[in-house]
Amino acid sequence: MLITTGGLDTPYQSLGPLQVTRRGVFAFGFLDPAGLTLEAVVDEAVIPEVRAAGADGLINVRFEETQYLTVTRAFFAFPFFFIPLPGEVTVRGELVRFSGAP
Amino acid sequence: MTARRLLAALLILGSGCTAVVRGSPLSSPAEATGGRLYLSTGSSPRPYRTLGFIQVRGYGVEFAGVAQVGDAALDHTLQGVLATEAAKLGGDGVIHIVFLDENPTTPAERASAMANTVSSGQVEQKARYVSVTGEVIQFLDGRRP
Repeated sequence: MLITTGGLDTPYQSLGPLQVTRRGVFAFGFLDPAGLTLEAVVDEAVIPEVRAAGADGLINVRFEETQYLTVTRAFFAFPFFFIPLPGEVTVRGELVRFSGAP
Repeated sequence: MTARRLLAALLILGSGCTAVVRGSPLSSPAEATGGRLYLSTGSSPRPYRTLGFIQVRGYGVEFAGVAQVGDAALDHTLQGVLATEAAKLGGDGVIHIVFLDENPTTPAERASAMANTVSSGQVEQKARYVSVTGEVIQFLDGRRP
């Protein structure tokens, strides 16, 4: 499966745009039970969605991930351990199916 | 008891929720568009000249997490409004399209909105936004794919 921030030089058929957004919180500043990282979202949400759409890949991908400084995370580990830190990861791109000879 | 409730709340909040937004197929480089505008997140399949740039921000309202009115649907903003505005500029297509559904509703948020609506008797509303940008082009050979 091809997932790239670039385009595609070989012939392809567009299956439409796809956006996957995961929202959750970090507990105690550092704990990430929701999987709010690019790797987790791509592995657990994007790749299954690409497969479910019957696509061969996702091109022109753009992505954003909420990132906190370590000092901020530490602050919310102590003393503000009771306040969860919100987080969000968004991955979007165009679903494509390869056409013609590889 | 309070510590257990706090832990349970954190676990519930921490179990992130994923929202998936899909749109209709855009233009494929080797296929004819049937006279419609060529729309792609990629580049142009043929030589072109740039006419300008477009940004469209669709606004809509979501009621109780389920019903939505307005222009914040990805397809409507991208294949409707963006294409219409590009055609007004005299364009044959829009390339390097970048789209963003700014605040899609996750299943947990949808359930929460419905529950709040039922319990309070007032319909919970949420403003929705979709942004799309692109480069309006005109094919040098004067014909659409």
